[in-house]
Amino acid sequence: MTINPFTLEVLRNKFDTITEEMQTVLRRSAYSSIIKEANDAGNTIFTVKGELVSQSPGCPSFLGMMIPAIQRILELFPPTEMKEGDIFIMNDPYEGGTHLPDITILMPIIHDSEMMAVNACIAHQSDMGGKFPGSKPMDATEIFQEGIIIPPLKLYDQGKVNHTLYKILEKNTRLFNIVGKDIEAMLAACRIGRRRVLSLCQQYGKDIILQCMAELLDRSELMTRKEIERIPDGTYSAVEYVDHDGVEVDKLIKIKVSVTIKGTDMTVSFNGTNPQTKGPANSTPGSTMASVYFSFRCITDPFLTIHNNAGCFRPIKLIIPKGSVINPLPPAPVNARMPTVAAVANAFLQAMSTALPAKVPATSGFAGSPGFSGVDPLTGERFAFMDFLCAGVGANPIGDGVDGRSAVMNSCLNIPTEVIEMNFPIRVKKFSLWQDSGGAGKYQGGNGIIKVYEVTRGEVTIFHQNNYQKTAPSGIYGGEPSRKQETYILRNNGDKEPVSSKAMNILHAGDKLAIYVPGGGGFGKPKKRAPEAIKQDLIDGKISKAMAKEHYGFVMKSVC
Amino acid sequence: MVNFLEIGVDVGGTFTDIVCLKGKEIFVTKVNTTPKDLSKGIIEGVAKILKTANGKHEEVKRLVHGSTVAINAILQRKGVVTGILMTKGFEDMLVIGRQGRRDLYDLFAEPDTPGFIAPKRMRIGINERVDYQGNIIIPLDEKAVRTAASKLKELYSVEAIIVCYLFSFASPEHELRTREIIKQTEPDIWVSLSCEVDPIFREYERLVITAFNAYIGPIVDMYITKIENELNRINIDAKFQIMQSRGGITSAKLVREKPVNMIMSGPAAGAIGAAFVGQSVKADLSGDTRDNFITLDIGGTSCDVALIYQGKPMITTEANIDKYPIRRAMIGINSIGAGGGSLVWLDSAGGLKVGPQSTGANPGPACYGWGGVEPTVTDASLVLGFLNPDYFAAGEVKLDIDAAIKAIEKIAIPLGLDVFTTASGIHKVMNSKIAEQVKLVSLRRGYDPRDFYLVAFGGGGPVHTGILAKELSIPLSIIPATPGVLSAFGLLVADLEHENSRTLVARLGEGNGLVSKIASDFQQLIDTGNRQMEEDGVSLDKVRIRKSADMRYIGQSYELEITLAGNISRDSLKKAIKDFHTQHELLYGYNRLGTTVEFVNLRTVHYYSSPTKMGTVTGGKSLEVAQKGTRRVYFEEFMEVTLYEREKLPLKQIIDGPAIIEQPDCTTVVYPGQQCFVGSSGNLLLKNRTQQGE
Repeated sequence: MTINPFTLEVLRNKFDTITEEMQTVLRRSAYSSIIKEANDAGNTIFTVKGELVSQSPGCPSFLGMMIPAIQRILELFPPTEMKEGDIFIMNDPYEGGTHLPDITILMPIIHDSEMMAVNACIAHQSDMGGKFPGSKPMDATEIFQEGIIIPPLKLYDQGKVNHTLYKILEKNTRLFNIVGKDIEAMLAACRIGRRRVLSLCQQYGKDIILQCMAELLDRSELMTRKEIERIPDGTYSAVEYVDHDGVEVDKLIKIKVSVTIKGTDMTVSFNGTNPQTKGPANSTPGSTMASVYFSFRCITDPFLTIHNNAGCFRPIKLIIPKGSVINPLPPAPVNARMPTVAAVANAFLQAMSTALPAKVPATSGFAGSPGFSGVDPLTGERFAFMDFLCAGVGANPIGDGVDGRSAVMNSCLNIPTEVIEMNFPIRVKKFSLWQDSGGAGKYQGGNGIIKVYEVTRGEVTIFHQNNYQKTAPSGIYGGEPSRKQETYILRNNGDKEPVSSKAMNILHAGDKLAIYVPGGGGFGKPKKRAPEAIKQDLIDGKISKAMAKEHYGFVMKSVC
Repeated sequence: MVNFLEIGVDVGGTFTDIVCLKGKEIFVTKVNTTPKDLSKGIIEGVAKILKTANGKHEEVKRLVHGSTVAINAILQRKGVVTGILMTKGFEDMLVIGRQGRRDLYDLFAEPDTPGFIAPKRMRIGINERVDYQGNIIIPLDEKAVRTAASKLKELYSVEAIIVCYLFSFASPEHELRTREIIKQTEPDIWVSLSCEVDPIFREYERLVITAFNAYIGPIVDMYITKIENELNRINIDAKFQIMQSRGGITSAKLVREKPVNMIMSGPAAGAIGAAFVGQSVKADLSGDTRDNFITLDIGGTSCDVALIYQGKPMITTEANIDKYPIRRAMIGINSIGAGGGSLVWLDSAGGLKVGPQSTGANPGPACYGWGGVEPTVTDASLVLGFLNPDYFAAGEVKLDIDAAIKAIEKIAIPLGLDVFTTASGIHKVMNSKIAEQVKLVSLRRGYDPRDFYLVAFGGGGPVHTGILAKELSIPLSIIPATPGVLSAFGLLVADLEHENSRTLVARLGEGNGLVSKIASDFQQLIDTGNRQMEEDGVSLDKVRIRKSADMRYIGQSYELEITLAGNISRDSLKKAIKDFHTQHELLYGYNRLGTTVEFVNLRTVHYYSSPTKMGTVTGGKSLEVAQKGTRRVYFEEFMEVTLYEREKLPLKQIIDGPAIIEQPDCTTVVYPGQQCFVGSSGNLLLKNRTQQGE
């Protein structure tokens, strides 16, 4: 039976609309600012074989990230045995997960008592217990310190809730009043997804739906292979660094990638990458894969003409050495994996810039995240939240990098200042662009940002996860690197303490946390930059007179 | 007997369309848009229609206007020079925004924030701070405001200043005082305050809508004044009303106060007109209860597409203009640069491209003979034989076929093709662009276009709709009686609407005062709306009022809008809470009975439906009488095609394609294999030829 091309197009869009709607339902009904404001969540449809059919647009770091988790659940609980009303849950990084705060929910879609597909949802929880609020201890040396580990389990068994598991979670997490409701919101998202897929079955017939899913995967593979074929054959390598692991703070962590293109196949090898770290900088295979998949899609199909599904990943062979920082063995801690994940993407992009010079920008700044927790003396209630920063984007062959934006693997939105202050004992004192932080070049890297938080009352525990204090986002084709990352605590008594890129601390009322996030690298030699552009940047304070002089040899008499 | 005239004026990129209702008679005409001074074309058009309708100036009761002046200023980045005053430390909010990116995978993507409204040198931080409860933490630095206002005026000649301080919705004091100070020093500067434009939390979203309000404010103000003066000059003392983005009309005076409400004024009128047509066409579709329509408005510069679902234009409250969030209810309209005036060009690889640049009214397509030499879609339509060179825009414009051929040759020669194949290729590219756009607004939102009918209008809609319906598997196209001026017509059938809202944030059960507080807040909103209606000269007994509340579970930050029926009482609020749980279940698949529900914003909308009625349609005598000869038309090959005069077509007589149906304001192309007839509603219905047994 051949598929009507119109039906295929309709269903392709229906699948995407369904995962998008799941995302909306989750965001609209969640309680934590990390989901509802920052959008740190993802929703998907998978085949029964664990192939990704559709994923909601949202976090790049979630693209394909759920594949190992879903495959693991389907391995442990064969689809033939899944029953109506079963719902599965997990967060175990060593069973396909990422880090403990990311909970995955899987809901089978059963049509006429036969399992036909799967809805799955992942979302960052406010707390999963462990030694540090928000479950982000930057100094952890074992996963057990990071929180409670949930292996793949049934949350619901044929409609009956697993009270035991709920009780254990309630006793082992700090903010169960929020976490419990966010899990409910995830279930709501999956239920909507299931309802929509089932109504498609009613409309088109199950066989057509399954056939279209398979066809969409095949077509994406075919189209992706054509894109790979356009890349010149050869092996391309690059190296990128992460400051340290939070424990051994003098050791740079090296990420080495070699990409081999041969015809329509691509092999991405991480041989030569740093062994797993003592501290929590380790990235499990799901996170590492997502990073490669996402950056690969950026350079082969930036405008998404190819349907974003598992077919796109079939031509890629990944070599991730066991026991390395990108494929650690238990019980290595993993909570601060994001700088590593971003470094994987940046290394991959840098390698590909040799093969595809017109498609790759200079390296962008890494947008880290601070977390705040404590008990608000005003209400007596415990709180924990994470804000997401932004950086400057690397300059590209056709223009300057964008100022202050989530770049590459970062995509979470900031928590609006008004939302922070309405809910937490924190005041944002400053949120602005950081002058001179982008790398000089023919095209200049975007500027990063400065964000200053002040504690208004009580005692607040903070964690700080960042990168590029030791190295800087690099320029390309003669472009200069951006500035390095800086963070300080400004005590109420006037003391200024530097904060490392993976650190924890305690602030009291009147203390401030000031974070400077780097810009992006420059593109091309600075002396090729148009004087008019330098002049405009001076007038707008994007760069200082000193930077104009030192990096561009440009002097302007009077600046308005 | 004194006749009352109602006039609708829709200004498009190329033509200004005018519709006049005189009792049950309807008159239509078109004049050229005069881009340098739009009021010139408007006045010319009004004069012309009065002559046609044999009406007097003093008989004009109301004049309703749909305008693209606001959206054009935004899209072309031609707003006024503005400065921004923000809480110190947050001067870059306009550029940073929420820091996200729409095109996730595009590593070279442009900014997603409207930094062009005010470059950094014109964004000034003011030392002041209000906390979330409205307490003043740092008093307003009045001197800094004064200095900033003078600096912005003297150095940069700003025409407008945007003021957006943190938590101004909790305490507007600092913003109000800032305006006073600016007005003292620089009385001519237009000031837009965030506490008045959109007093809702989330500072970036509030800033953006406030900024656009200022960016277009002085332009809208001047524009309205100019038209009012011109109307006065020709002795028209009618009510001057303007279409708002949400699909209702209001007085020009109220639009001036919140110009951001008229961003989608022009396109909204078309959707309202199409919804009216959708209702009227039911008489012709016995047993077919389909109430869903996709509007296809192809004008000179753009193609606008909107969904009418279950009889109503779909309203969105999360609209983006370009990619900037505008927190206002508006009809969801998707616009792309594909119209009759869209320029045809070859890319570096020799690929044929259509638009998005348009020649507009000046110089216009080559065939207009106004000095244009570049090929456009209209030139292709003429070369293909779709258009009648002597009967275009009611005969206003004589089309020059030689000029069109010459222009198309500029593309045909490098491609090594003949002009007809090239013209046909131009149409294919144009049609596939529009088909993709229709898919975007339907499929992308989970609607199957096959469940809809197309309503085709604008000068170009009826030329392209037949082939588009086929491509999209849409079974039927509807071409209204006056498709070339449907937007102008929509202006006259739209409701008068006034929306008012205020933030409350309260929980039922929080003390006994709440019911009376909500009731008195609603009463104030109702009084405001009543006053607005009275200003519009409407008697209040004919006004419908819809009350609603934005509600949420405590702890959530997104609200659902729930309608409140009847008087406000404990029972009606309880009913609203019950409805909220039900609605939540419906939308999100679950509810949380027992959890406290908050009332966040209270809203009222006042409606007044104008008593416009359409006359009955009689139709012509026979198809033979309607025939006006034949013409050679190119449909992949040349065919001798019968031409018909739309106004003389009889009712319910089927015309088999290929055929061309001409009328003063547009041309309908019936492609080979298709057929059409005029229904009893006066609309032309076009579909694929019925197969045996169907």
